[in-house]
Amino acid sequence: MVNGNTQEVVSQPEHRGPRPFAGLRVLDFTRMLAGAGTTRILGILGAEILKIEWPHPPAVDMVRLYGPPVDGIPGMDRSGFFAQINPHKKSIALDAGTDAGKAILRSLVPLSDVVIDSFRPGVLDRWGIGYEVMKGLRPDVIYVAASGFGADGPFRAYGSVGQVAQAYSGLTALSGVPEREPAGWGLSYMDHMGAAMNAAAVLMALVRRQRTGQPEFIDCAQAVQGVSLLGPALLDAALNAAAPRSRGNRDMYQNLCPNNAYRCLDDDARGRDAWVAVSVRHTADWAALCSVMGLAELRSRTELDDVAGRLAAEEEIDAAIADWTAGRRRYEAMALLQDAGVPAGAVQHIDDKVERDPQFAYRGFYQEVTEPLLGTRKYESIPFRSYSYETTITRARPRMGEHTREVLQSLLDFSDEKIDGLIRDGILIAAQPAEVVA
Amino acid sequence: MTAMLDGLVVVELAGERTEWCGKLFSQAGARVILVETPGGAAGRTQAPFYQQREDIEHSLHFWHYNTDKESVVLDLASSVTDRETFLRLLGKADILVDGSEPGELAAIGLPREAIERSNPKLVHVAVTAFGQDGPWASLQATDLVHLALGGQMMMNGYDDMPESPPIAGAGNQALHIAGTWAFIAALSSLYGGGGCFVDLSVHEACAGMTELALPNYDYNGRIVSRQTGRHASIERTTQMQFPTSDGRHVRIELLNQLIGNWDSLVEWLESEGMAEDFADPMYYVPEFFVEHAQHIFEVIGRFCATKSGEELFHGMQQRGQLLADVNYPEDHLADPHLEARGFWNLVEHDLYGTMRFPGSPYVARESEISVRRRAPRLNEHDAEIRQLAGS
Repeated sequence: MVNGNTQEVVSQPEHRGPRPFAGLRVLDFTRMLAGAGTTRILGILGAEILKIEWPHPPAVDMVRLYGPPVDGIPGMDRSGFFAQINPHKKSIALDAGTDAGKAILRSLVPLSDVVIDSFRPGVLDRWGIGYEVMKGLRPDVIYVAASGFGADGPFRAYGSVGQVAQAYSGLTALSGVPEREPAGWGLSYMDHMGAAMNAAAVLMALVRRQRTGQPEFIDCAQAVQGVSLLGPALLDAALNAAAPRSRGNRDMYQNLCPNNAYRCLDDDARGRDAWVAVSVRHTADWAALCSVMGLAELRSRTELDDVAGRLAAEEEIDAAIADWTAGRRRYEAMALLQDAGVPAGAVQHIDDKVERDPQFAYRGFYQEVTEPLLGTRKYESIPFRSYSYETTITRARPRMGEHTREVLQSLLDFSDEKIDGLIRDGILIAAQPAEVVA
Repeated sequence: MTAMLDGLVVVELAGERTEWCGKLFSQAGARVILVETPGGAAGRTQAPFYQQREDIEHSLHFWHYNTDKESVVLDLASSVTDRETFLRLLGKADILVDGSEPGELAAIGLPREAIERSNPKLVHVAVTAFGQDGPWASLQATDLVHLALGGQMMMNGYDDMPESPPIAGAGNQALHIAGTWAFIAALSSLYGGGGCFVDLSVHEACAGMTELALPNYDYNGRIVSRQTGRHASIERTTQMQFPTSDGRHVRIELLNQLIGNWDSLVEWLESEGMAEDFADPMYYVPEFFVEHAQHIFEVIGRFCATKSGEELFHGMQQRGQLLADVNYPEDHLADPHLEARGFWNLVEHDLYGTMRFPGSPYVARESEISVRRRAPRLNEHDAEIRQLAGS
């Protein structure tokens, strides 16, 4: 496979050492985005990810079946969404429902630094490799169990996906305009954030182990993670008996005014609606905005110098800004305001980000990896670069069972004959080499 | 039980981009030293305020993001002595979480080389709006602007109000995204041996969280569009958020329908005479199920209108269906699940007594992660921190 960044990456330093988790092994029972997104992060940061999977329900990672498929042809190894979430992993296709499958998993535990699953609570216990057993096999094991509502509490048997966690947590309720039902989030924000917060749990436990040698079990609950992202509103409710409500794009706590999205001239061939987001933080921003927009009358009203005065005139100010943006294109409005120091940004679609955003182009945010079946595809990189170690994406997702043979041979000394027998018995699947599949 | 990150020392240059990262460290038990300007961190002026007391010691925004931290005021811009104290402090730290603008520290006499010299093992995580360099490096942003440029905002909103703008979710989410990534960057770098500089862009952190937008564009050249209360999508999908009998809303996902789960759902609807044609065995056929999604959700929507949000949450979840009622922040005050998981922590305030604070979403078995102490007053820990720095 070839790493083929097509864009110039100016800010990537030249001489860097190995990725920080090089040499670390993760036994990965995660699926979907919130789970598998966790090991995406660990994999890009250098850990060896052993993704234990199976192509049949209920064990299958359903994302393998989601679109968009490459060339429009569905297939286990053809999902573009799966590819986005699963670079830098090895796939071991194994039926964990069989005794032989469980025995293999049990023998992989002592060789793994981290075990992570995204099942409902208790599955690994039923397989005979719960945390207490794991500690017997690997005394310094890190086990992160990532489920919808966690392993403790009255809702522990309940399930979740991003949108459900968002509804439960309050994130959905606080996205919308006051006169309508919630608009919510048009994406699984808590799958993305769940993945990041699960990865953070693994890293905390690893740093602790590095310092103390101790094992750790962390119970991660996606729905509760969502709740934790609304801290000031929760505290407002707890200590002020408040009932916080969304104000559309206007700042919920009225720290900023104006703070909204304003319609601009349509500016692309697709004829889509075009908007620019604008915020005013303080008097200097306000003065600059009025100057750029020629709002002399508003600027002359001293009561608008502070946020309380502007909030009292919020409708009038929003209308004046909308008048100005209505005659301009998104990036033009953004540039004029930013040149004067006012926070402003085009409301970008994905094609804007990939094709038009000069910052992403400059920093090489979208990276390309070529793989025989998928072709050359774009990947979102992780959002930081170290001046000491590599963080680029260089390996595409594994095909189902691509590494079954390699891993069982190298880690467990399985012979080809033994592996072939387990394949015949329906316990393992080993994928063909990539060039054959392609 | 000791805290998860007991013994770790983190210096946080106070700013909106670093406060969540610092809190993730402090609630995990790291010693987090908040370096504030003489006027105090900007977060101290952010509403909401405790009992409407609008001063720098009563911001609930600041109280939340700065629990368990220690405050010292260092006038880095004007005082040579304070800059020296800062560098000596870094000599005692494992991690610097730095939310200053690109080039800002160098301009006041704290170039990166000086920081590196102060502690060759230091992990220096710089969290900027757009990164250290590039054509947008000096642009200004807020949470709203980040969610706009990052792509999330265009995916949220109302599909039946073309005159209405796309909507950004509330609650400082761009800054939560960036702060979580800063925490990941810091811990990864520390684990890898320390002694490094990390350049983190909030813009990139937001842009990497738009789910199917990139695969759809990269594989098919298709662009997703916002739809009310559900995923942005290429094609119009059916409504999955429904009003309930008690004036609330619920959100359901019908994923991975197992026959047992479907049967118990149908049984519940039948018991209320609202199952319509759901007993048809054709619904076991995945392709049929997908083709009739519009009808399925319409039937479920009619059923939801007859039940309360809470009845639906428990009734559906106990039948294996993924549904939650759309909660508001105050609903969590009496949530038995959060209570049982110890999510709410009791924090003592010397003036106002014991208070309930939202705590960590994590439950660890071998160590502790929790909120324990109120946020510091401005410069409250001046003596201890200067002593630590050796001045």
